[in-house]
Amino acid sequence: MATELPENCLRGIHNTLTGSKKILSIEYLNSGHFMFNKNEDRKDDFDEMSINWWDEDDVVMFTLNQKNAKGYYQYKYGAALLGVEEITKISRWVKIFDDIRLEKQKIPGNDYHGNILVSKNVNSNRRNLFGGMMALHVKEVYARD
Amino acid sequence: MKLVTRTVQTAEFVPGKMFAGEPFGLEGDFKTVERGEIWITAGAREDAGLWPSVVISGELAVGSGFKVVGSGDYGTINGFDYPVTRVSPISGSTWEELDSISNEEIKNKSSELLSYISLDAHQYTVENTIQQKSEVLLDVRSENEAVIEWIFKNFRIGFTVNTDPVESGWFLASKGNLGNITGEGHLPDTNIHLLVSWLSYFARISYGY
Repeated sequence: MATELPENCLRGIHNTLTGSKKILSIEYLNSGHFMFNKNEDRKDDFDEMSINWWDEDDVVMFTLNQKNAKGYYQYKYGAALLGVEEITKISRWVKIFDDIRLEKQKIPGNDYHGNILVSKNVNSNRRNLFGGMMALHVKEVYARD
Repeated sequence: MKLVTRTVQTAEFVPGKMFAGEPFGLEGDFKTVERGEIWITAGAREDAGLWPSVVISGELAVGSGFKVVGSGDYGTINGFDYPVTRVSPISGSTWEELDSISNEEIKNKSSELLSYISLDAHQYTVENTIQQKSEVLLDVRSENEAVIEWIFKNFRIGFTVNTDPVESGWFLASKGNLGNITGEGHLPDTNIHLLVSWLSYFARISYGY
């Protein structure tokens, strides 16, 4: 795990669930909200889950007001608060501690941005288990309304 | 107590669910006439607090929380008996999503899993899951993968259905009040019915936590 990171981060919640015609209530967050994506630009053997680091309290409103290329709010359903401590524990419980990395990665227009990284060696089912555990260990969810 | 009786012809038949034309509470019996046609003859107690739980997303799932007092407490669909006093955790949109899967291998395996979940939910866990408001979600993640997640407040039971056996599997994730228990295993070549039964047993004994 990386060091000198904030205690918490935010994971934006958007309806990535192609199979869901509705968003479930917040206690029904699931592995689909915590999926890793392949980034062809990465030169290492990791896939990414995008997050915003809680460097300061302003990150909440910043995240909730982020918009996509079409001008719509990117995280329509809010942002989930995750603790580094919980992420670390989950990676141990799921037995992928050595396959998880946390990184800060500022990108244009978003100084808070970072990633939870998972080794490409971790298969899809274990990633889904990790995502399911993340869903269960969200500390809080911030909604825009 | 006033009884209201209606007869409704469903629009579509999919194993494990029925579509109803309108929201109502039920009291009576239902029967499958033939594939593609189900008739429900039923009445409802107007004062029954059960009504809100009957309709799930505008669709009437098999076993939604109404009380049958007519010809019997069970209906039969595709050879399975479904107690109709209970709540199905599988909504109509989940079955619709199943229909939309183009990959036959994933579709068939997902259908098998959903059928057993539906069956086990009714047979074993429902008294508890009614109150825990579980829901089954089918998420098609790619052309090669669908994930079925049986979602409870404090734990998740999941199945990763992938064309690659190495990527496939089942998983169990739980919160701290259930011990932060995690589990996973292989899916191909596993007895799916026994697996689902075993996992749903966890759901049953986890009630109240």
